[in-house]
Amino acid sequence: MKCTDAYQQLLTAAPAELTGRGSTELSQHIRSCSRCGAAAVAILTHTDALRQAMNASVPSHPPARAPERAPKLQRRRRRWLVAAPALAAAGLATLLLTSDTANVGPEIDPPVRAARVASPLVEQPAGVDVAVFNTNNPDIVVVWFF
Amino acid sequence: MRTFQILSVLLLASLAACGGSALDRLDTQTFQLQHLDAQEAAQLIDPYVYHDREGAPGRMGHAGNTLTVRETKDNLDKISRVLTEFDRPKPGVRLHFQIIEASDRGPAEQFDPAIADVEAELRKLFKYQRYRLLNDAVVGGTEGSHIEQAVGDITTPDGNSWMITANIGTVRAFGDSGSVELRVGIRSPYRGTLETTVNARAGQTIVVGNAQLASGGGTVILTVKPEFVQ
Repeated sequence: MKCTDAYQQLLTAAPAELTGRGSTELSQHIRSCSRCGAAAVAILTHTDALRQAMNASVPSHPPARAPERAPKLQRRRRRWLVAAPALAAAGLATLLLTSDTANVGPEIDPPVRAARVASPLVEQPAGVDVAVFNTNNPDIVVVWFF
Repeated sequence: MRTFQILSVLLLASLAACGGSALDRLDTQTFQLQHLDAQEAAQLIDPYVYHDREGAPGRMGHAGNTLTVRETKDNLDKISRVLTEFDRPKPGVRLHFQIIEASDRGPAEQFDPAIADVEAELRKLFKYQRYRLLNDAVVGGTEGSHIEQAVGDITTPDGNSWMITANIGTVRAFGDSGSVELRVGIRSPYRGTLETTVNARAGQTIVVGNAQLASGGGTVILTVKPEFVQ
């Protein structure tokens, strides 16, 4: 399996596969490829953070002025829980976008207009010597056969 | 807070979707060519098609006057710009010929503005005392044209009758500028033949001389200046 194919499957792979367990083609590749293995670990880490955030008990209808009454530590924890999904999303997106950079293709600039022909290409007749004189006038070139 | 979490999850989903599509973001586009040969166009844009991209190689094919390319959107945009730049009708070519005699003898000629620029440069290179415009002609054609134009009275053996020949080769045009490959020459039953192939820029004057055409201490010089006409 190539890394490109592995990257395409990483997002939909089961957590067990991402850990390299099992005999699937992807898990075997994760075990053998450090780059894809690191990507799998990163996905697992972010997924875990996301799962923890989603499983956190957040009251659906918090009592009025609850923040004022909540302990300071709990407020910090909740701020982290709120930020976790965004951080996970950002991390995952960064991972995916940077891993794809090498596959975009070569950077080729559009063509530019041809520069002026500096001197004419002269085909000299057989047995004749030729001299090309670029004159002071850029629009005049002298081709002289001997 | 729950709303914020839901938004965050949506953000995650959208970013993940963007990342996923980045891995598989090839589009296919067919370009209809108006003037370029499809095979030429394929050669032109081949460097923009990433055939070796792992997992998602670029593809290109042509049929008739169409060219179909599977590539990333960025590369398709570049290809479109390239084809827009080059898929244009090739201009006509107008050739201005002058036949000039250079000699060491004879009365001084009056200043001739028609050959003033060329004469000024020739005087810096050669020691001829006198330059005289024998004949001139303007002919036109397109890429691939063969043109012959008689100048002077070709039936009179006065040495001043010529057949001008021109083959217009590859035209590389960008608007009214560019270059053209020309095989040009003059021949005279009394003075001989002067012929060569040059690659001339539009508006450039190519001055062709041949010491072997010399007679009586002088020689004959041919100038040709191509211009593009739409």
